[in-house]
Amino acid sequence: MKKFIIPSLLLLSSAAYAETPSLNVHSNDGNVATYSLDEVESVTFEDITKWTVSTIAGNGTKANKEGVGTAASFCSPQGIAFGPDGTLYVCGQNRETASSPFRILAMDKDLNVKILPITGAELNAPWGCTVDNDGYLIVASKANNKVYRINTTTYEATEVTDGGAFVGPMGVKVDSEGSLYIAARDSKYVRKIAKDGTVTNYTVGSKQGPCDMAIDSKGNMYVVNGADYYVYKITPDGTVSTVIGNGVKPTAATYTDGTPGDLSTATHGQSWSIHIDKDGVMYIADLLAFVVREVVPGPDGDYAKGTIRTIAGKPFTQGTANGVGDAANFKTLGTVVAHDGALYVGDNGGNTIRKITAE
Amino acid sequence: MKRNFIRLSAVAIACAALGTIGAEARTYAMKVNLKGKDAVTHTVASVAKLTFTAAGNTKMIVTPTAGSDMAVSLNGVDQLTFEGNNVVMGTTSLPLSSIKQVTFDITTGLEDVTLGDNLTVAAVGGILTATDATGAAVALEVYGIQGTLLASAKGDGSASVDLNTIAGNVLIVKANNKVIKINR
Repeated sequence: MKKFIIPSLLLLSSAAYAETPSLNVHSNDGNVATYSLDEVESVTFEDITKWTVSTIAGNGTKANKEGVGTAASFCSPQGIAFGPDGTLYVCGQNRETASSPFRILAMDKDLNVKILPITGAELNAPWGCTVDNDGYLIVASKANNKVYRINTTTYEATEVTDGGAFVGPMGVKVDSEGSLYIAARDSKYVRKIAKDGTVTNYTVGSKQGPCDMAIDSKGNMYVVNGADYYVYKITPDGTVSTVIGNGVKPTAATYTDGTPGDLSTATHGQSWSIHIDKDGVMYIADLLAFVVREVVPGPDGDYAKGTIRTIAGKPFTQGTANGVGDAANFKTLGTVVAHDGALYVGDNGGNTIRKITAE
Repeated sequence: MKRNFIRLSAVAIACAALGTIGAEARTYAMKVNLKGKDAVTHTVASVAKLTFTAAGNTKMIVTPTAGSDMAVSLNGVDQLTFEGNNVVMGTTSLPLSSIKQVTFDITTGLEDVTLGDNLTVAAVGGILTATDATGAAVALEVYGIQGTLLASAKGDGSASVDLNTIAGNVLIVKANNKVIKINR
């Protein structure tokens, strides 16, 4: 217990003085840095992770071509998704010519890119894709309003039919219980098809319907689109709120990551992709600002009270450069997904697959 | 911001709700921000542990990025370590990303002392106040142990100085003609 010492103690030698409260920082090499707590204003922690962007596949040419890594090429790789064996599936949103077929490609761990011989599907602008809990590839065929479930061994496709007529399917996701979510942009809802076939539509968006969504461990959905400048949250009971952004279209001058703890102070642009990794970190590909951002949730997993950081790309600077952080550029951001400690991006406009590693 | 003083075990409960956050490969820096000096930065990965010397009744105030402050008495903290992207205090693991800042309240352990029939000195929240119960003039002066005058104040009935702005753990306080040494 600290206490005042009566005046008579002033006569004592300095040895009687108590030690100054101090903070000791012990380094791994055995050194100790000591700071008097009198002199310490505060201790803060800063994420100084360097995110390095590289191109791992595609040579920039808009074409569907098999090959290894950058010897291969893609036609507007929009949707990307990993299978359980590490295969990366790539949806080509465009095609080489007006008469060419739309293609889905697959790249193995050694970067060998193959065009999948899919049968039973009329692909038309295949947009988002995901791999369900049974290993099937789910693909949203945006231009003909269909969603296909594709066997990743035989490549036979079956149409996901639930009696509904959703319009403009873009993002697709599957939750841990096997429910399928379809971001039907032009229907202005997220359609949830539960494992038992129960269908629920979650209406969201004002100027535009949903382009993609991510689902957290509590069953909450986080939805992005291309016109509202918000990231929306939809609880399982259908309650809609905003978690990121202020509803105002950002510019190079107004773009901001805002204040940690209140992400209504951060701007949000336009997005076709939102992803939540196994640790609960959210990633957003902002195609308006040409950046990839991460969102670490605040207390109780509340993203609105978390921290958003721009980790790759220079805001409002378009390009194809690789590099660290804002030295890298993106052409048109398609999908971002986390896999095995890294992020992967389908650079739709750049016709490449980009990898973002942290160090 | 509301400040709660809670024991370490309670912090563990509160922080458990924050969950495990962050990719494995994150790199964090710990900045020791010093009063009137440049901050000193340590890479968290290079730090084996944090310990405290003579912390006594000092409180460590953890301010999260969202929510209320949490105060932990350093009496119950032997050391802090880092595991992944978390700081570990006993059984508590707190994500670094959830911490806005950590500060230290080293003055809260001061006890009131009576210097005479009417003159008392007390410290609340780092503000040292000498009070004369009769309302008579009070002259309060604070010296460093080398005899340097660090702060002073005068008033009728009471006078106060802010110890938070004064460096040094051992101070000499003169209230009117009474002198005491405080060890905060």
